[in-house]
Amino acid sequence: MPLAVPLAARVEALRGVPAAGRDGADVEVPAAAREASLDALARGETHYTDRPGILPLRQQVAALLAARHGVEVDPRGGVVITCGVTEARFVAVQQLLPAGTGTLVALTRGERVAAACVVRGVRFLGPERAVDGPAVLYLTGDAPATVRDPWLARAGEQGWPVVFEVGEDGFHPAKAGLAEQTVTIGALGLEQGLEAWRIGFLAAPSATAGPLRDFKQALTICTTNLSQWGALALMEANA
Amino acid sequence: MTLDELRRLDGAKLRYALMDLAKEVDGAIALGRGDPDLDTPAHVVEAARRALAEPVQSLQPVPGMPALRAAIARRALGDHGLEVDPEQVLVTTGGQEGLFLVISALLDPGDEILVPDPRYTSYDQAIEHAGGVSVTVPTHPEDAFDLRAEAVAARITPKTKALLLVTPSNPTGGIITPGEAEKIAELAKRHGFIVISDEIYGKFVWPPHEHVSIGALPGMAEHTITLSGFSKAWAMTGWRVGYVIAPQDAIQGMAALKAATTGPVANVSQAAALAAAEGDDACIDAFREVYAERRALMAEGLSAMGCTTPTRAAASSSGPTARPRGCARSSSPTCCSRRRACWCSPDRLRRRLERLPAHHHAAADRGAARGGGTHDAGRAALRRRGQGTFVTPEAASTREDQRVIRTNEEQLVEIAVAGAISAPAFARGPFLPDNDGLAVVRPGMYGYVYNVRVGDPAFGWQGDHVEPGASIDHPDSGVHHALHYLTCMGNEAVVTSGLAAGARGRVVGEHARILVDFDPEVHDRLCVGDTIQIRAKGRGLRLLDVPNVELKKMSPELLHAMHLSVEGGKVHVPVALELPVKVMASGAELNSEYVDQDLTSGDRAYMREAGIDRLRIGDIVAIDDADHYWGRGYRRGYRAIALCIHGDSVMTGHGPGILTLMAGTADDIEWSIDPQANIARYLQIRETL
Repeated sequence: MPLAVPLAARVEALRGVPAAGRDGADVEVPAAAREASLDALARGETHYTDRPGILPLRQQVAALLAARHGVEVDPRGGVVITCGVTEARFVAVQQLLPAGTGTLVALTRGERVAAACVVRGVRFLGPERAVDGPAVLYLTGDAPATVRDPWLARAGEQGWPVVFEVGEDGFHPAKAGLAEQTVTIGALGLEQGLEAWRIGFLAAPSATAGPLRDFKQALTICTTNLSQWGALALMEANA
Repeated sequence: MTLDELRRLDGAKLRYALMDLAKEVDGAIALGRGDPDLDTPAHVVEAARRALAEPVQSLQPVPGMPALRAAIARRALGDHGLEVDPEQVLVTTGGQEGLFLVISALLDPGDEILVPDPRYTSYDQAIEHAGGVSVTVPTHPEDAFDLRAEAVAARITPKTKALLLVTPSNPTGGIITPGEAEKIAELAKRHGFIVISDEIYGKFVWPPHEHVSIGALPGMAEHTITLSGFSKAWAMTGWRVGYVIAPQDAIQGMAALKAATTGPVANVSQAAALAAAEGDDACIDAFREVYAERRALMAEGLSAMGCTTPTRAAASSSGPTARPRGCARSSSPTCCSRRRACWCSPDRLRRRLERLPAHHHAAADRGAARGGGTHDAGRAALRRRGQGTFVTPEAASTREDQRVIRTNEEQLVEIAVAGAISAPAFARGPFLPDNDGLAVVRPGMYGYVYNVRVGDPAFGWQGDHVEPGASIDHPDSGVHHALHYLTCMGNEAVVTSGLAAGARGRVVGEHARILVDFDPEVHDRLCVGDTIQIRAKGRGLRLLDVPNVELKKMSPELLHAMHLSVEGGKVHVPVALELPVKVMASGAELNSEYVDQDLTSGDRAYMREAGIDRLRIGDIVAIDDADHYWGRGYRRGYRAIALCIHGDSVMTGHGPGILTLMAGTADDIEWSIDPQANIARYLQIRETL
């Protein structure tokens, strides 16, 4: 039987947005992550962690950003561990854009944030569209420089926030002088078999990260305890 | 952060700031969030271990692992009577995400949602994010913070899209009673809004109270979205598994939202939750015992510190997390309702706790020891103390060992007493002063009342002290008193003169006369003055396993029909209603062996608000903090079970009357609500009410 009242308009709008994900796919999980999680389980790591995540993992994220991208973030105040990069994207879009009136320009892989924009009720544009008024940029590490650089220059001039989803290469908007207005997001161990562990992060200057952290807590409180320990072991092994 | 800065914060921001500050206080214990300090049950941990050991793992669908959705659907039916298909279940990243998804899926900007006050601040964040408008529904300490349908009804507007029902409530412990749930369900159906029923603490309701899933009420499936999860009942906060139950189209909509928010829940967490859902509740029972002890300790400690805690409340987040080494005082509902943020140092609380009686320290020590926790210890303690899960009459019927009520009835004397059907009489003229000072004339007392019978409403008659059926008396004072003192409820009566001679009835009350119910078929043959003889039996009846309970005018027949059970040295009694002791009035001056006591019903608004206006003649009722051993007075910790024997009254200080059936203390008597607990059903006078 149907619900007695109609659902919100945002739900209806989402019906046309394709869902990401690879349900049913088999992935091989690295032994280091599995063993670390088993150890954590034996220690009784079954309760909430700190809201932003366990500190050693945040420190690993900060170290990774510094080593790979030359970005300095405070692991205590500037890093939040999320339930996959999906949650990091969602939190960033919901917090950086004003409800119903904002504009997000996705330079690459816009399908990853399209649904989050629908939920927020904001305009969602590709790089080919003209923008009047304030906006937030979203781009991934594989964005071509020809597309990326002009938009980052404009973001710098206008003071627009930037949501950057890290890739394997070393580029980061900080190299364009945008460190203070960039929220960096990413998955942890996604390509190494941790996709089903739902673990990601967001990092930003502490003043920006605070509201993001609060919203993340309102959404899921914290990220799965065991997943955090598994991801930590994998990052330590990679380091 | 300075005190001034703190004072400028509100809601979640204040909570977060206080939690950050508390981290800097050595030995402080966070009561701000419900994180049980008990271990996740062993069988759940083992399931997770097996899942983690698998080198190849499969990504799960966003709505959840199919086996887990099916297990949750089975539990919803078994635990709460919610009949749902697995497609009506959405597995979420903790109950918190479930809440966010539900609010986002329901509310458009400007939609109003009724929310209880006080409440958990995360609700506000989700509502604000959706652009909804919170309309607060106050709950009050004097109601134990239970949500009242009347308060809800007063705030419904054309923009009302939903009501947030949190039962038991975090942070107050208030619950939704069966009667209020029915009223709220009617409001939802009449006004077309959705009830969002957050039942994350649903496993932590102690007898005599019971958890109610409003979605299981008739016609409520399409008006209800139920939220719950594994964090609290199975001590699984760090696993982040919750769920939503709703009609399928709503689940599909929320699943689309969830794909945007976090995607599927972590594999290992779903595997663990599956083990929890498919396992039995022994681990939860053990947790409940630990929490009950801590709750009692906290209540007494807070009371000693001058904070009030509703004693009839269920657990809130402060209950399960409270430990006896120190605490934040902000968990007190009174403090919360005043929007104060305050805490005491561990030393201060320790000093307070040291003043408590020694047995509480022992209880605290046991609780702390189990906090490290194995469930076997908890189960062993349950067996040792004879305390187990709440046994409903239905469950008890399958556990015959607990249904055996041992009495001394073979020692009772059965003796005939007699009287005659009286005639209505006006001792001081026909006029009665009502609550507004008006003089009215109303029938009801004495004589034979044809159209009011046990099982009928106590309120709503154009009568005064309406006595159901025949009221009999004897003109000789000595015989009169023997008739009153020896007759017990449920005794058989037979007409011994007149046209209806030989007709049999049952004693159903004692007011100024003895009240006897007869089948309507003999109405036309019964006359004023007809003599009636009663086989009086019941005086001296005792419960051998609960010696402190005094039975009053209880026949063996009624006793055995009342679905009583005895466990752990307590007798458990189903009752139709709880009467607050504050309404007990006229008759308090009498001894409890003779006639009845009226409740004062003059505050009609309160009668409605408290649900007393649904009282029926013949209902079995409970009165806490009432000592009925010798008289009928207020005394904390005492408890009475009584029978409603007549209808409402227009007179000040009067109202429906109750006759004592059992006197005892809270240590001897437990009760739970059963709307069918009425002498009319117990004596098979009526099949249904």
